[in-house]
Amino acid sequence: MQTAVITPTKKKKRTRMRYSNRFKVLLCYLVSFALPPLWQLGSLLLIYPYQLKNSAPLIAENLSGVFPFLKNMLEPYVQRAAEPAGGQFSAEMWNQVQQSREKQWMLFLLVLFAAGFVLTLLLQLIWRWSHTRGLQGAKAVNRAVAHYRLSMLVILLINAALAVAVWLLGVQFIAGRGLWDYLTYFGAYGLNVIAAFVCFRLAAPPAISGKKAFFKRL
Amino acid sequence: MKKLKWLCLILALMMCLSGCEKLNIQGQQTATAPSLQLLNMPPYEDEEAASVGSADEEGNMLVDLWMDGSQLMGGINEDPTSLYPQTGLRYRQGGFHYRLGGEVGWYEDVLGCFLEAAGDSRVRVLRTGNERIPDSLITSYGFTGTEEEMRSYRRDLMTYAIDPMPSIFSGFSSESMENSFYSLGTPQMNQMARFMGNGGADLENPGRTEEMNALLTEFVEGFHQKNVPPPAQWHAVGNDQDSPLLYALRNLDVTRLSVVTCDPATLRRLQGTRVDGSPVYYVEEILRERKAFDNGMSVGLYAMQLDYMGHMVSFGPADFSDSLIWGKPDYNSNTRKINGVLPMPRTLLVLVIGRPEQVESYTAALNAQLNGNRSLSQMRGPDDGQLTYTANSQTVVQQPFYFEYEYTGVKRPSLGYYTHHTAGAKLETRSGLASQQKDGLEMLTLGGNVDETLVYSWPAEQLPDGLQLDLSTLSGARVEVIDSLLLTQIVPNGPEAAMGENTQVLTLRDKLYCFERVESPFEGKEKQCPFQLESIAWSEDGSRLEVRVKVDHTLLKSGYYRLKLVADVTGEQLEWPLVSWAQDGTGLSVEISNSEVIAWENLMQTLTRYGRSRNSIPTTFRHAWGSYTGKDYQGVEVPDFPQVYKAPGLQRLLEQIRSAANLETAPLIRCTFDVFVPEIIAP
Repeated sequence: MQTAVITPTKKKKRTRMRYSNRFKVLLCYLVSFALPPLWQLGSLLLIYPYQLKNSAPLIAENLSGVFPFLKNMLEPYVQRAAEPAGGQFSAEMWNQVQQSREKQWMLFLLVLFAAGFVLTLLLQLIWRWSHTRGLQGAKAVNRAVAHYRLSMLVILLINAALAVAVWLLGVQFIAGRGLWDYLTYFGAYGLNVIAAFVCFRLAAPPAISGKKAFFKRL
Repeated sequence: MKKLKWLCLILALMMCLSGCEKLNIQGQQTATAPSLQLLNMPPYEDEEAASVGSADEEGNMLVDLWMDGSQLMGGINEDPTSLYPQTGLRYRQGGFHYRLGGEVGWYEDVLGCFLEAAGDSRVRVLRTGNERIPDSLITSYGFTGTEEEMRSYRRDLMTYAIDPMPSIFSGFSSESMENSFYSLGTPQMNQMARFMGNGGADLENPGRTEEMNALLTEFVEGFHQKNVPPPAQWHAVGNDQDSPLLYALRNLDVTRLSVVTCDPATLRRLQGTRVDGSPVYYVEEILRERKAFDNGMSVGLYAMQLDYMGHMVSFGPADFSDSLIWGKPDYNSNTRKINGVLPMPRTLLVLVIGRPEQVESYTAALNAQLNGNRSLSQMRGPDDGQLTYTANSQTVVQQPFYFEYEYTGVKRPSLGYYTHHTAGAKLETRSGLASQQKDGLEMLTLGGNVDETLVYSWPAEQLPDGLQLDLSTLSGARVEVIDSLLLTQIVPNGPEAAMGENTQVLTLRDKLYCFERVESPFEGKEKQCPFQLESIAWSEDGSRLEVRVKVDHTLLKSGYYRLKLVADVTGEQLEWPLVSWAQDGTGLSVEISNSEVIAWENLMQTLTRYGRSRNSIPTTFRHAWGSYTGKDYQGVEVPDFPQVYKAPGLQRLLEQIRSAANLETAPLIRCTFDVFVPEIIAP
C-alpha cells in the first residue's frame, strides 16, 4: 500500500508595507485615536469651567445606590459630597463639598471614557493583527470584513453602554442640561466609534486593503 | 438586506436606551441656582462682646485704703495763737483717732474692720491730707509722664503702708499729737524707708524709692521751716475748691477697690462756678473725668456715727479764728485730774469705690465686721449733763450714744442691655422659620416671595424697684443694615470675567452670579431698605421684650443682610429712691448757709479778741460754745451751735455721685443678626 506524502503548505509571509504607507497608517491611528481623549480632556478643561461649572451630580451616591456592594467603598466619597448636616456649615465647608462633587464626577467620566477608549483601541488592534497575512486573499478579505462588522458592533455597543452609564448615573440628574452637556459627556464615545471606523477602513493591513478594495489603502 | 440590518441595529439600540428609563435610578437633581451657602459673609466684629459681664475676677482683689489725714480728722489745732492750748490734756486733741490712757476712739476699730473685710486681698494704706505735692516738684525729681503716670507717682508718694497689721493704726492715735499722722506736713508722710528694703517692689513704680524719699524729705521740710510758712500751693487748707476727698478721687486707681475715709467737715464747697458762669460740681466732675461709672464702677457710701474728741478749726466753709472743742476729757477742776473721756458723736463718711461685685462683697464683709465688733457695740459719750450745746435755739444735753452706720450704694442704673449675647435671646418669624447660629450671630433664612415680620425677643430684665421703662420714649430706635453681601449682577461665564475686591462670585454652568459686599448699603436710601422697624414692646405677659421688624419682600435681594437693632434709653426716666438718712432734712446731712458761716466766724473772732484780752472766756463758751442763753456776747449775736455732729454736704455729695452715675443716654438694645435670602432674585 502506497502512502501519499503530503507536504505541508508553506505559510505565507506577512505582506511588507512601504514606509510611506506605514507612516500614513500610523498617522491615521494617531489622529483618529488622539481625537477622543483630546475631546474628552479638552471639554473637561475648557468647556466645563465656562459652561457646566458646579453642575456635577452626586456620582458617588448614585453609584452606591445602583451597586450596593460598592457602598462601603464609596461611603467616604458620599460623605464628602453630601450637604453639611446640622445647619452648622460655613462657606468653606460648602466649597469643599462642591469641589468633592466635581472631582468625583470628573474621575467617573475619565474612568468610563478611558475604559471605552482602551477597549475600542484594543478591539481595533486585535482585528488588525488578525488580518495581516495575505494567504487566500479573497477569503481573508471576506473574513476580515465579517470580523470588522462584528468588531464595530462590539465597539459600538461598548461605547453606547458606557455612554448610557454616564447618562443613567449622572447626566440625567443635571438640571438644565443642554448641548454642551451632551458634547462634553458623550462626544468622546462617538469619537471612539468614529476613530475605530476610520482605522478599520483606512488603516487596514496591506494584505486585505487595496485602492479600490473594501478596506482602502492609504 | 444591508439596510435592514442597520435598521434593526438602530432599532435595538433605541430599545436598549428606552429600556434604560425603566431602570429608574434614584438620584438627586443638581441645583438650578447657585448655592448661596458658598458666599462668605465676613465675620462680625463683635462690639457687644466686650460689654458682656465679666464677673470672673471676684476673688482676691487689690484694696486701697485712703485715710483722710486732715487736721480735722485728728482734731488738731495748728494755730499757735489759739486760746486753747494745743497740748493741754484738758483740751485733748485726737479727733476721731483719739487716745487717752486706755481709751481709744472707735475709728481705730473701724480701721481694723476695713483691713479685716479685705480678707486675703492686698491692702495698701494711703494718706490723703491737706498737703498737695505740686507736679513741678514731682517732675523736678525726674517723675514725668502722662497724667495717669503722674497719678501713679502721687499714689506711691502718698502710700503709708502695704499689707499692714491692724496695730499700725495705734501709732496714729498716740497721745502726743505733735507730728502725728494728722499734722499738716507731718514727717510721717514719708514712709519710703518701709519700701526701700526691697527696692520699692511693692510700689507701683519700683526702683525709685531713693528719688521719692528725697522728694518727700524736701516736701516735709517745707512745712517745718522756722518762720517760713509753706508755699500756698503745697497745701489745701482753707481752699474751698479742694479737700482730702477730692484729692483722693483725683488720684484714685480705678482698677482697684478703693476705700476712702472722709471727715465731712472738710468738704468745704462741693459746688462752684466757672468763669463763664456755669456751675461746676466737683465730685461729679471728677467721677466723670475718671470715667468711674462709664467703666462699670459703683460707689458705696457709708455714714458712720463715731466718737470724736478734739479741736475743730473749720466746719465746711466756715473757718474759726479759734478752735471749737467737740468732745473733751472728763476733767475735774477741783482735783485737777482726768477721770476719763467724754467724746461726742460725729459723722464720718466712707466711700467704697470699685467694680459692683467687689463693692458688694467688700461691704458685706465690712458690715459683718462692724456688726460683730465688740468695742463698737459699747455706749460712749457724756451723761448727766456733762456737755451741752445749742441747736435750733434750744439747749441740748448730750446723751450717751452708740456706734451706728448707714449705707447706700450708687451704681449706674441698668434698665437692661439687650444684645445678641443676652441669654434667652430668640429670633423668629411668623412662619416659624428656624434661626441658626452662625459665627455667634443668629441667622434667619427668609424666602423671597412673601412679606415677613421678624421678631427678636429677650427675657425682660428685672428693673430696680420703682423704676419703669417706658418703651414709647426710647430714643434712636431703629433697624439698620450695617453690612450686606447682595446679588448685583448675573454675567456670562468666561475667562475674561474679572470682579472687584468686594465682590464674591458664584459660578453655575455658564453664568456668574456676582455678589457685592457693601457696608451700610441703605445709608441715605432708607426707602430702598427692605427692613423697617415695626415696634418695640413688651410681650403680652410682660415677660419678654420684643422687637418687630417688617420685611418688604419686593425689596429683598439674594444674599446676606447684616442687621443691627438699636435703641437707647435716656436717664430722664430714672427716679432715684430717697435715701432718708442723707437726703431728708432730719437726717445726717446738714446744709450750711453763708449767713451761718458769717455768724459763726464773727462770734469766734469776738471770742478770740475778748477772751485773749481778758485772759479768759466765758465758761459758757468753753466747750462746744456752751449753753444757749439767748443773749449777745460783746454785742455779737450768739448763733446756734454748728451741727458738727452732722455731715455738711452729705446730701450734695450723694446727689453728685448719683448724678455722675446717672446716664444721659444709654444703650438699651444693641443686637446684630444676619438675614439670608438663599433664593436667586434677578437683580
